[in-house]
Amino acid sequence: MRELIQKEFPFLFTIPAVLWQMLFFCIPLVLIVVLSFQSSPVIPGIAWTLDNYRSVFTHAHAIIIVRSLVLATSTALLCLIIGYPVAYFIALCTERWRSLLVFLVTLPFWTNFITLVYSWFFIVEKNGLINKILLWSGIMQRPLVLAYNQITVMCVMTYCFLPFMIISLYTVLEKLDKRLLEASADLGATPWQTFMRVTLPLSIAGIKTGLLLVFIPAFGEFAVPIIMGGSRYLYVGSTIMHYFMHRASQHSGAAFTILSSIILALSVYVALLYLKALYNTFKRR
Amino acid sequence: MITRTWYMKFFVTGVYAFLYIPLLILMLFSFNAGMYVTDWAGFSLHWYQVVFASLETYTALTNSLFVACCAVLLSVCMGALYVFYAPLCGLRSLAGIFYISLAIPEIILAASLLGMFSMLCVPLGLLTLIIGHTILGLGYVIPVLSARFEELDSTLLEASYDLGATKWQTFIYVALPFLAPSLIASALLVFIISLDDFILSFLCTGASTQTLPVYLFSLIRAGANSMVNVISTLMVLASTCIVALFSWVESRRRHV
Amino acid sequence: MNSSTIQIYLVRSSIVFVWLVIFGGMLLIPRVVMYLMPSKHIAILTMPNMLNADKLTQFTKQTGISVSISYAENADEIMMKIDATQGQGYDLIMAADYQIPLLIHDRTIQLLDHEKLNFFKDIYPALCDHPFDPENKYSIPYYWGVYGFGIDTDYYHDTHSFSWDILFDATLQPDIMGMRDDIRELIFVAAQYLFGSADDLQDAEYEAITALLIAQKQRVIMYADERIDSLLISHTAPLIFTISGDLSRAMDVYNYIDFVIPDEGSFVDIDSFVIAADAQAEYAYQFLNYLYSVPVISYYAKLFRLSPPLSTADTYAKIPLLAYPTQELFSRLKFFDTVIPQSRIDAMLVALKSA
Repeated sequence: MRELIQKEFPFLFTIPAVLWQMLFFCIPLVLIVVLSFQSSPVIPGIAWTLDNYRSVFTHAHAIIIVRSLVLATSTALLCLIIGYPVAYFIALCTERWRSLLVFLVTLPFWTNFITLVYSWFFIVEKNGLINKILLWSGIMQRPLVLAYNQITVMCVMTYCFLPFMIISLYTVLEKLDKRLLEASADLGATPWQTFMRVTLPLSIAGIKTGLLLVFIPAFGEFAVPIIMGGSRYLYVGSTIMHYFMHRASQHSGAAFTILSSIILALSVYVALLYLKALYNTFKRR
Repeated sequence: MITRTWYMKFFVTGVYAFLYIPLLILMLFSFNAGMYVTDWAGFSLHWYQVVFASLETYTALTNSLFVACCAVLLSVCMGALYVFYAPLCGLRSLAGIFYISLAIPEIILAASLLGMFSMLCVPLGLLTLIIGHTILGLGYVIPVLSARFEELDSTLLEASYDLGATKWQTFIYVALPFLAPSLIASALLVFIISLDDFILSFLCTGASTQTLPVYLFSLIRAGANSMVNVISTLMVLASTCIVALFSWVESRRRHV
Repeated sequence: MNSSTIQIYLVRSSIVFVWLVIFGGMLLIPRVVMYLMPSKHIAILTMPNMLNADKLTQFTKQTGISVSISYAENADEIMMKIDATQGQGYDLIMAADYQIPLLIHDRTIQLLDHEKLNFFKDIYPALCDHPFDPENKYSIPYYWGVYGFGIDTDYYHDTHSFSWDILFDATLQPDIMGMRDDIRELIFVAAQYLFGSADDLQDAEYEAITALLIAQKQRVIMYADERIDSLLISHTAPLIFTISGDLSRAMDVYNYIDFVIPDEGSFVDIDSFVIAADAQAEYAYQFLNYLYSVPVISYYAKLFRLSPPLSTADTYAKIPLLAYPTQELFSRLKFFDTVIPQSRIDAMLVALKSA
């Protein structure tokens, strides 16, 4: 018997992590699904209904989800466009500069999200940096109202998620064999051709990670639209938060959560398919 | 090389400026004597005094630290045990449930936890925060440790068993030392993620358990602005020190 | 299935069971902690900018009762926290006026014994005996605020009369304005403008309110509660819809900011302390007597720029109109008292903020 128990030690030590994840991650998700079919949040299993989904399949909710998708996609793409050259630059730097640059990029990454969002007030407010520059240089006579609109929201989102993208890309680009680039140049390729045919395909894994690392959290974001967006529009995150703040609306909130999760999963799937198709076309050429 | 061109350097410098200017201005304005955000009314340490005298800030800080330490301990221990022992009892394939938690927006995680806690009538507080943060932590610890563990030559493990070591001894004397750098890295990662975490903490806060980011958010919503600057500045300085310390330790370790 | 596999399953299930017990027991820790709490302890649930921990150590020194304060951002969150724990875990709760009938109905709060409160006679009569809690059997008013317009006097230097029309009438609206972020209040205000009251609203009327708010949204740059004063301070908007308490801080510092009440009358919000049903009433009463003593309540009134509910305390409100709660003033004010179903509120919020 003792041997049996000793043989099962691995199970004993593996189970905590698995059980924890099940209890506090998988089961709550299941409960949310169950809750979304309830008509009252108090006791599950009493009244099954589709009413919550009916109340959530409205034009207004669809707009909210679409708006979040647009914001998340544009944030991810902006981060990619801005972040890729930076990651490429750092990856090809000398060792000395590289550690410093990587350290400088990770600092905002370690900084608390709310701080990052809040710091933008000093840029876009009426007495903020941008307006001060505009007024001082004489371009504008009166300060612009830049805060509290959706463009600012997008800028701030990009600002917050840029380090994620740069780090993901850098991790992959750093492992790039530089000799491949040299070989490509030796074989007569222009820098642009080297980039398109060698670097880009090899870094596709980093691009995928980076895009997902930005897109998924950006989809569920709610602090930025509230603080910087003047709370004029609801996004998926703030809607879910609103629903769950009131016990009486938690079941509708659950339905909305499930709906947005399905749409998120579909979008990610479609995006990954698209990326794969792009990758294949690059390979073929 | 394309990276040596002036426009590339200009662009990269621009991006770094973009990343740092807001933070630097924020830190500068923590010395603002004035009441309101963007009016510079002179240099003053007034707000630092206010923050250091504020009981709420101190409570938020201790809450944050406590939750972070517990989350780190729980997730690193459970994660390390899982990574080593899972292949030995066939549960390796369950690793998927850990990776999924990274793929889900935190708001959904938070909402579902909140739903479950209110269904079970568990009072929201430090414990519920620790539970949530550990879930987040496991999502980072397991991939990092798994990746590192795969690099371990399995022949080393076999050799250890052949030499008569039990699995536990192999774990302590062979696996852990090898995993050590990843353990430290993931511990640091989870620590900072827990300290900075907002969405989960916001939804799951209970009696007297505001963590720093949630406290900051409520200050911002209340318009008590310059205190936010001070706390943020201090937090940025603290994380800089931690990250710098970590890099220094890493470089020492590599050169020794 | 031979005996060894059965044995393996047995061992594995008992391992799982043991860990489940450990984790399940972990979930019970907060309850255990609550029971083990020093018995001389009270927990207060309140909103920020009304009360803080400053004066509490003195109270603990005087009476030996330790106090912990939890904050909820607004009245909705207070309700949520109460719902989550069914009112247990808190002894004193700051409840908004419209929530008190609900709390009474759910039996979450207990009757007050006015004998035990030595300050009750000093509370302004205008704050007492309102429909949501006749004779204040359950609640003690603490905070009162009047809704109205914050205006930039540089912009409105010639205007002396304001009406609700200025919010919704396109010919009178300023180009940019700010509104509060509470959909319930917006519904009431819109209903006031359209129908004169928010009682007995039907579907068609709700549609009209939604349409009105959506039309107004074009000119609204920000929906926020306390931060809304930044719009006036930075001269971004000349008009905001706000509550008096949120503006007093700005009015202290900037002389171009003023607060006015619409001519047709406005709304008032009274937040009161209620004692939870299973609370330790003795300690709660001791705390209330301490809190409502003149020096303490004056301290908090000064700190948070409130008009205190006690006639014996000093008032610090910058707005002369609102220095003292008079019956005359309250005759022009209404409460947000109609109960609108949460599903309706949710639907209108989503409709407004997605447009």
